[in-house]
Amino acid sequence: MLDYVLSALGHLIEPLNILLMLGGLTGGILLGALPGLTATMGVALMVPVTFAMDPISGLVMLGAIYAGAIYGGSNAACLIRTPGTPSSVATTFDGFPMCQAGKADEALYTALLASAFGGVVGTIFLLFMSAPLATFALKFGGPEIFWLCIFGLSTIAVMSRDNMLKGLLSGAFGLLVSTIGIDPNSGVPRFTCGFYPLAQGVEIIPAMIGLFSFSQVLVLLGSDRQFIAEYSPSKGAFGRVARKLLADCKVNLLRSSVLGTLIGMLPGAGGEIASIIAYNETKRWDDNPARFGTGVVEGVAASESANNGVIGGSLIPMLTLGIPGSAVAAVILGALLAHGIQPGFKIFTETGELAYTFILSQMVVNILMIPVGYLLAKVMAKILNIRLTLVAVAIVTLSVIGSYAIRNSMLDVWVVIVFGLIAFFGGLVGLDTGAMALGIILGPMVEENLGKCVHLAKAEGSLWNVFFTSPISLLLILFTLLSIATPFLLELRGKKKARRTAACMESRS
Amino acid sequence: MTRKTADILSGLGFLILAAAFWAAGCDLTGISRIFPTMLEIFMALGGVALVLNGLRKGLTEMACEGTPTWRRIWLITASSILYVACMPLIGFYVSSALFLFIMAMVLGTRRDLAHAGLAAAFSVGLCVLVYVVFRMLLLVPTPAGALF
Amino acid sequence: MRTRFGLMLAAALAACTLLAAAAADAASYPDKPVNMIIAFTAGGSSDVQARIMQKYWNKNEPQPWVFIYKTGAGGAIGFSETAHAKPDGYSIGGVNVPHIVLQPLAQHAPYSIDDFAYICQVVNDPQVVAVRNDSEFKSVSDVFAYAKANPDKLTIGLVGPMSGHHLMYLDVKAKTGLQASEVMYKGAADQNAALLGGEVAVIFGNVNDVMRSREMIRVLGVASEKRCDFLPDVPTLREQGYDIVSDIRRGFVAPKGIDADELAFLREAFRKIAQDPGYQAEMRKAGQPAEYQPGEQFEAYVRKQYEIDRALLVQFGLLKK
Repeated sequence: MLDYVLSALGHLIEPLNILLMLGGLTGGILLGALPGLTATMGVALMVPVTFAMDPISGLVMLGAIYAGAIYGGSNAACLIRTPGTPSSVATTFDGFPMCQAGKADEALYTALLASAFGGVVGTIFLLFMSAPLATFALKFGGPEIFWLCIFGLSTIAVMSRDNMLKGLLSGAFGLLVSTIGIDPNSGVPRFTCGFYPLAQGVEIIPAMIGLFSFSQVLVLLGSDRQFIAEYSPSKGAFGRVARKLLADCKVNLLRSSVLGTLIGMLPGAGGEIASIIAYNETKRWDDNPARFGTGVVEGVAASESANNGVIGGSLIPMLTLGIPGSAVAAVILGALLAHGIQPGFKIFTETGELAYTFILSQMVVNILMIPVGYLLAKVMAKILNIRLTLVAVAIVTLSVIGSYAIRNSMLDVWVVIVFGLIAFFGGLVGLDTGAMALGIILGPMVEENLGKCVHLAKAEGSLWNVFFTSPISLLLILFTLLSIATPFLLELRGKKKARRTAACMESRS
Repeated sequence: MTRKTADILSGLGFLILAAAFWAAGCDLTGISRIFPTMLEIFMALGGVALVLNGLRKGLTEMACEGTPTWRRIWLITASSILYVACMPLIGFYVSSALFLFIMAMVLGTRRDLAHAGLAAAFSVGLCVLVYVVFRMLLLVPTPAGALF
Repeated sequence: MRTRFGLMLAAALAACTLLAAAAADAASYPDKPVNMIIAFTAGGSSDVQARIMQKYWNKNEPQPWVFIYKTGAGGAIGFSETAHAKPDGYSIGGVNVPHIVLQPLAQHAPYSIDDFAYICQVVNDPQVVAVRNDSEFKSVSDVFAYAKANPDKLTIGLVGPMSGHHLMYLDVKAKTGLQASEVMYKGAADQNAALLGGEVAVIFGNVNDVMRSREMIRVLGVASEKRCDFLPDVPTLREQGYDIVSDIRRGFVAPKGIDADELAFLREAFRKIAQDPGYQAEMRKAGQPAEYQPGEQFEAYVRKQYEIDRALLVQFGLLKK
């Protein structure tokens, strides 16, 4: 291994590779920041370019685009409350309130440092624990993924504590929307109302753009503000954020990055789920969960470190088993195969030089991301100095092109408008956009894995055996129950505290 | 808006959505139907609960503060719908340039020539930028129409 | 920032000159970029195949392809886009068989096999029966015999429903009378993971897909007429006594109504690419089992497949009137 690491380091200091990493990062960040242009698309567009390159350089560049785009998504999330990629939905929860409070630079630096941290943690797992983790990831079959989704959904209960019923109903509506299209289990189209194009279903990205960004345009124009937020870059913000993260967020960052890596390993579950789960776990374990959503550094740090942790995680089964853990990893797998490189445990011996260069390049990319992201963040924050009306209409146009670009369908553009209106008017009567988004993201996975369980039950003898026997399933069920109970436990704790302070007051008087 | 109306409206909204999905999914059978039907029932029950909950509430609790500027909201909604509807007919770039220019003028506070110049520069500039990035660098197609 | 802008300008200028040059000798078809409609996501097998083809198309032709991804509904969205595109020769698309046969039959997809003018077939990816390396099954007959002796106990992973794998499963059921529990997966990645993780005991997968995890997977049989180049040691199902041939084929089509000369031009251009040794080598590297068939033969194959699949679906009551 050491030989390979040394020759990998040799490759990484080649000027061409450094240039490719910097270029990939810059391009990736810009792509990620544009709503609708995702990491998957950016990497897929560059795959043909790598055919003409040395495989090592090609892979290094694709990896840099991947990392850059996932971080870049946070820029739009913080500045205009539009997740640039689906992975940064949870970043909007606290990133945008921070921006509104005039702390846009702090939000962006938090996202940057947390992303880099998450990326490095994911890479460390990839470097040292690929084999055991890949075997562990295989333990997640239909029932386990089903319970993971249910656990994800249970976070709605934590997310919308003040009105749980509306939150749950919003989530149910999201799930119902996700059933539009071809049924994963029987293959027949559903809810198309005789209009066949609806069989393609409601794609996640246009729905997210509608729920978050088009509705945000309505909110912004409905306010009588001149600019999105007051923004005056404060001196020393970067250092302040770095110290704060180091002092208060060590556990948070570590937990979120590890969660991201673990979820990233599972095929089908990627950054969009990891960041939401990490956000909610951070909120749950915080001393004062109520402050989340009002613009706290911890929220941004959790979401962003988790979604960059996913990168390393998703590459683990891709390199060792040939099973991609995310859509982007699938594209990178295609590039590997096109270069004639066979994934498998042997990849670390037979093509070790390439494998280790690729892995170590992720480490370097995540470190290089800090200066590159810092410079770009300064440029992007300038958007806040543009008049709100201009920014708002520009968001509409970018939402249109972004949603169209995914699969060249005008229907997706209409999805943006419809879901924007649903989110805006729903928001007025207290519906929960985040819960709806979670339902749309998790819906297809819930139903598909439920279907698998039903089929497996035929062989197993009973549905009970399928659902309630594997240790991972039981653990996830336990987490789900805890998650549902959290709001009640918190209330209880609050009451106890109140009683204690009351008692103190009495004894004092 | 008061909490009372918010609850009643959202409850009715969920009831209507559940009914709409129910009606659209009537012809489904077997395994395709189970999961949506469960959700429809849940939403219908929840909708009823919200309405009842709202009816019991007093009129004093406020759900949200401040009234948004409705004129601008209706304006952007209507023009966005028109914008998207026109796109397949006249193409992405022409419709975008028109939309951006008109909205920048209508929503802006000033209506003088200097502002018009700025709005024109903004709309054309953004369209050119999109064209360069999408068509030339990334080779990603944009909605096509008769006029470009 | 400034240098980037400079680069962009340079690129824009270069592109303009190219366009102008192309317009100058606009003597014959194609004189503008050709839209290539891909029904699956960027980076998927269909996309990678078309991208490799594009490289060799660019060698001979000045006009590039513009890739249009119309994904969703298992490819049906993209296929119907191709079927209903303007037949002016500037929209062509990739198709998969049996997808284009099954979707109009069983899923009310709004096109039919008569809506296409067939250019050629480029890939024949046979289905295989595969198990994990440590499985007790050593041959296909072990698998089928076990499933017959223990009804419903055997789990078979398929990508589906209404896919080539699903059809092969129905075919096997019809010919051997076995009874198993089929589990549907969204894609080959999930299916491979389920096999490796032990959730299912057997999968019916494609060569292209099982090759990705071949260290841990044992292929018991190939459902093709002759042995597969990628797996020369694996006997076919026919060699093992089962008359089952099942595969996924990829090809290219234009919408029906395209000018006959343009169709002839495309068929010739694709033939040249498919017979280029460089192309064949790259396809092999990418794990794509290339098999060229000219347009007429491809169309005949699609029509034959239509009759076979229809009969199977009717037999199992999966065809809704």
